[in-house]
Amino acid sequence: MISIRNVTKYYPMRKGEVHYVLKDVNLEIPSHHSVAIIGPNGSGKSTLLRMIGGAEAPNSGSIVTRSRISWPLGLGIGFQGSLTGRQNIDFVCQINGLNQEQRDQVLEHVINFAELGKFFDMPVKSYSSGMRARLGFGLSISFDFDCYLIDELTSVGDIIFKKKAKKAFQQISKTSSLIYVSHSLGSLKKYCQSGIFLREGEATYYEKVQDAIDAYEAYIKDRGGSLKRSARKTPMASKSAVRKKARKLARKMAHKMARKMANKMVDKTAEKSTNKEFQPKQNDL
Amino acid sequence: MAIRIQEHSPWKSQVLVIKALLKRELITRFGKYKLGALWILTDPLLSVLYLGLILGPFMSRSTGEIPYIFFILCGFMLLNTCTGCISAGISAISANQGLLVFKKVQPIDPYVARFFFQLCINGFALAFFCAAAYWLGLVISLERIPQAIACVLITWLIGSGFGLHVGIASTKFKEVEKVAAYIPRPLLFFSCVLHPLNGLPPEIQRILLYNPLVHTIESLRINFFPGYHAEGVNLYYPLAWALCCCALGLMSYRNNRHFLTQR
Repeated sequence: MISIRNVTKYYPMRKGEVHYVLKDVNLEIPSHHSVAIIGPNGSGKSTLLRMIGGAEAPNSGSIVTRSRISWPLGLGIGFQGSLTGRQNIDFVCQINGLNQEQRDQVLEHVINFAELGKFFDMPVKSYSSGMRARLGFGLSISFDFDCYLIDELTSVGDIIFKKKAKKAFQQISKTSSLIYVSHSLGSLKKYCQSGIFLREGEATYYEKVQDAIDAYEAYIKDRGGSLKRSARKTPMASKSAVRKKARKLARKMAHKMARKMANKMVDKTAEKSTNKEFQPKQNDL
Repeated sequence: MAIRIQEHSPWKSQVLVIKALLKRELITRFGKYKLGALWILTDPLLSVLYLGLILGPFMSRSTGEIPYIFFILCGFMLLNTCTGCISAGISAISANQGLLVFKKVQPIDPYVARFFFQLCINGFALAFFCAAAYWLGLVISLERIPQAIACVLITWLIGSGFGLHVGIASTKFKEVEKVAAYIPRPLLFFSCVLHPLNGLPPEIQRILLYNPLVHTIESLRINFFPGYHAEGVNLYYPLAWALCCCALGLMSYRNNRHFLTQR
């Protein structure tokens, strides 16, 4: 059980304003229950995940839990770019106080899972995003947690990684739970039972993941509609200005096209002149 | 197969984190050089020799029984302990951003690790040079080693308190970084690194005695050479500075700790 009590989180913006990511949110996330977090971009999904993982503190309110929660696992977080993959893993083993035998075990597991080859001893900043994802995922699942926090991780992987991740997810779901942030609704449906829908600082918990997705889609539809309406409300520019703009654009495009075609023709003539049969085609224009 | 992480007491957990960060610091600081950790010694030695060879002919009479090179060395190593902490504090958070994602790594830990690292390398270098000078035949008094260590520790605490302040301020306001880069240079002249305090006119002495580093640096020389003279110097004044700096630094940290983890 993870209980989120009266959590408010805001970020300072320019000129002293603040942007509320979460406003007085109350949620209870049951144990052994994989939860999807969905919402539009910038609705605070990653922030919520980071707060649950303890990487960031809420401005007010508290997050109380007794289960062992992993660090938030996402793109580009959790590793120090100047250290190699091996050194990063050593660091995590060290802060968790593992003995030598356990360290070797973790290293072996990560090496087998991530398959980074010689990149394992290169600085992490030289990795591609897929390689980072492999390393991070491999490291997380070598530890035993009650709950794994995953932030849009598998989207960058290739097929091999996706297959491995799928297998790992299935294994995880037997004993522990996931809190999963993704924009891929299909994989959310596959791995999660319930869902949290975030929008404009509010969060709603849905028992069934499908309900959360429905709410999300309804929200998107609603917002799309409202956007169109607002577009209609904008005052029209004067007709002459529009005409002027259109003429300018047309001139520009005509110029561009003419140049392109001229280039093409020059190329063709050059090609043909080598064959000694020069025949400009009208069709090309 | 998966490994269960044991719960540790907060103290043990903190020690583990700081140890790991120290190791990380050592790797990134010296890993890229051919000479590696030898730079702990070479770096200050080159600066001291450079200053000593240029200024030595003019200043050597004023320092009495202390050879001028060693005179500078005492001051320079202490100043380095202080200013090293300040510059280490500035980039502490940004250089460890990736590691702050782990719950066990709190934003104070990179600061503590970096300050401790500065103490280790500068303390080690100072001890090494003193031992080398002693071995080479310089008469250094060994009776007041604890007081000498106290001088180093107080200087370090002043630097750490300032470093914490400056580090936190620099994550909030980028300009601090620029301004802080100019702190060490004037301190070279205002902290009696290059000249003895008592060789100066009394009015200037009175002003310089407001600088806590003057007290620790001159005290260190007195502790090594009991015959050396520096009037008006004591260790309680810099100790008060150290406690105030650290208290203010920690207060500033407590107020801004949520801000520091934001990405």
